[in-house]
Amino acid sequence: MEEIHAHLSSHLNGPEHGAELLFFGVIRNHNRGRKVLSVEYDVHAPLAEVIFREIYEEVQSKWGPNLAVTISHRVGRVEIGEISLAVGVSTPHRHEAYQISRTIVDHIKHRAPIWKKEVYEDGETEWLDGHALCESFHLDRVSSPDGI
Amino acid sequence: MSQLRIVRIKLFGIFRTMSPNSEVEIHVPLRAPVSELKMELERHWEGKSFCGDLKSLLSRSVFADEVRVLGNSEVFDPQKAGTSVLSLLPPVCGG
Repeated sequence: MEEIHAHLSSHLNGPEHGAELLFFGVIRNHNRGRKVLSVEYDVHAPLAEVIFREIYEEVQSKWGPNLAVTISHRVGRVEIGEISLAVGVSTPHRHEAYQISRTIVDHIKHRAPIWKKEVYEDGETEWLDGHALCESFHLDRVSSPDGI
Repeated sequence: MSQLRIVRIKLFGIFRTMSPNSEVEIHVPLRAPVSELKMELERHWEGKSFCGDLKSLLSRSVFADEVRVLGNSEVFDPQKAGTSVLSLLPPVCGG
């Protein structure tokens, strides 16, 4: 965990930033009433990088240039308790860091070309259903619960 | 009779189960829009076993090149795109 923290922080935290926020999506051992043993992620890597960059630029457009963001997502098999997604944000103040972090995670879930297959205790596997992509999708089309 | 061309499609997510090497080739008219690629895929996979409603899933899926999602009415131009390969992307669920 310390290694991940150090790696993420190395991309964040300008001298004028008073807030650094790290979000980790972690694989849990249950989903929809079933016991999960592990998950596997499939990723269209070139397009995912494009989408991550688009999200970053939209965040900058909305909150201004004085922020830093880093996004990492696992590919392949991930075990229970391991990190699947890491999002780091640094900003001058904490208020926008919380908003930006949540916005980025929501947008990754809706826009990034990433798919998850769950492996269950009974031996079955299932590719999870998700959000249909479309040609263009921008920050204002996914509303977070706090209205951002 | 219109000319046909071969489009190679890389499969992602659950679509990988439709081919052992996660790829499929289909024949479509030269100027066929993306929507026609979906129809041809449906024909190509007709009768093939799939866990779910393949037609419904295809309707909710998109094609993409390396850098963007293509629109349904768009004509895929390999020369312009710099690639002759498309990717078929089902609904996403990362994170």
